[in-house]
Amino acid sequence: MIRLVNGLNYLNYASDLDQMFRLRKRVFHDRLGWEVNVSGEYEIDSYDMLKPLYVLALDDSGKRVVGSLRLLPSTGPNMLADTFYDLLPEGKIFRNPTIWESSRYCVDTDLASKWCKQGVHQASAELLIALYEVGQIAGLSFVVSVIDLRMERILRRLACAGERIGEPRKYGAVSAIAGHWEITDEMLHQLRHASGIHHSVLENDFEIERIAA
Amino acid sequence: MLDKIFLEIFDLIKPLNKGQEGDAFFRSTCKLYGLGNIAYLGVNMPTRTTRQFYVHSTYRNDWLQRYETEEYVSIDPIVRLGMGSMLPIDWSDIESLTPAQKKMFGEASEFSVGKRGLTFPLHGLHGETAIFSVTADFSQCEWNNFKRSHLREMRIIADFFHQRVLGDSLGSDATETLSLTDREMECLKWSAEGKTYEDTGILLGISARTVRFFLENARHKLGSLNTTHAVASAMLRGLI
Repeated sequence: MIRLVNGLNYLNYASDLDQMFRLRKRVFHDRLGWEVNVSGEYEIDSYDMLKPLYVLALDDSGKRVVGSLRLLPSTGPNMLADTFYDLLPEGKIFRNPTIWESSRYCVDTDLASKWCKQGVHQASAELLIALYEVGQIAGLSFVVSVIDLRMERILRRLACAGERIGEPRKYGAVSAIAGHWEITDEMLHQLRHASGIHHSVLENDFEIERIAA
Repeated sequence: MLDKIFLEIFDLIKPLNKGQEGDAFFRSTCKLYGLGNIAYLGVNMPTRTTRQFYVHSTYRNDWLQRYETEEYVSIDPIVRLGMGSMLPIDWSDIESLTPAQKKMFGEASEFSVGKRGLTFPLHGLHGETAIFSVTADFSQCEWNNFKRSHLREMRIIADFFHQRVLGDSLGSDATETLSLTDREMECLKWSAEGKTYEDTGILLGISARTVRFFLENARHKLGSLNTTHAVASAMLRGLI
């Protein structure tokens, strides 16, 4: 199940975000050894200050965060334009209202106990489906992301590897590429077929966006 | 037909000057899509002057006056939701209205604001936030169709207007100019030759999806509503 948490309701979901920042540290710092900014038990950076939309994968109890990703509009500061622009052709950036950036896609494989087809964690697939569902609600054309080659292989198993925008580059020990994912019914259908998840993954039809006061 | 109209109205407001072009842009957009009103509110706008707010709308003046005297901006859920979220907000989805908010919406309909509304939050490079709303008196079915067909165009139009407002308040030298890449230029050229995405992909050794990605970015960089308009615009400017 996927929960969307935005700038309006960070306080209502403080425990979820606390778990998410810890999860990100465990995955990106402890396990993958990425050069990320760590503050105590949190992995948190300047892009988290921009009120991103967090996409959280929860276990069945709805209490434990087992995976997450972060969405930022490409019209504002984002990782591809402001940190990893040398992954783009000619280093030329774009800022486009119909394109959002996904970053910090991660799943805690110790916590995520459910599997879907293709030997991929259910949470990993749900996060990707959520990306398309959110993209359709928002009227997006593409989602872009910087991913490493290991991740690209996992996504390929879900028929969702995206397409490369430029050439891979090494950052420390990690080979990264910039990719795009086109938001279309066809792509979502492929992903649903590969994962075997045919229902909407969003909790409560994303009711959180709508409380007036 | 639609392309031609947009070529005209998109060119109408370059640059935005004292709101008149903005009025014409809003009115043309309303007419084209059968909308009731369009309203734009920018907050924390980066500016060399003192104007931090920027308001532009087609609402009736008596409604704007009412809104101001009642200080509705402080209770308007659309402002609050718009400022704090990234997803578009359909007004009919807003739940748990307070009595004061219900009163506001009741009055809004008396002042012909529109039966239905959709608001796009816009987040920019300079920390500014703006909301862009479109309203209509459509039936539920018409509204659903409108959203299904035109959601992305509305987002593009919203951002287009926002960028013009920024250009107006910052001056052109302070705004970021994004240049076309060689690949984007090649995709535009082949489109101008009438090649399909698939053909262009084969010619360039990339997928049709990546052709669409490059064209989408070229479209935006050229300030166009769609690819056809972008190709025309690139030709007019002698870029291809």
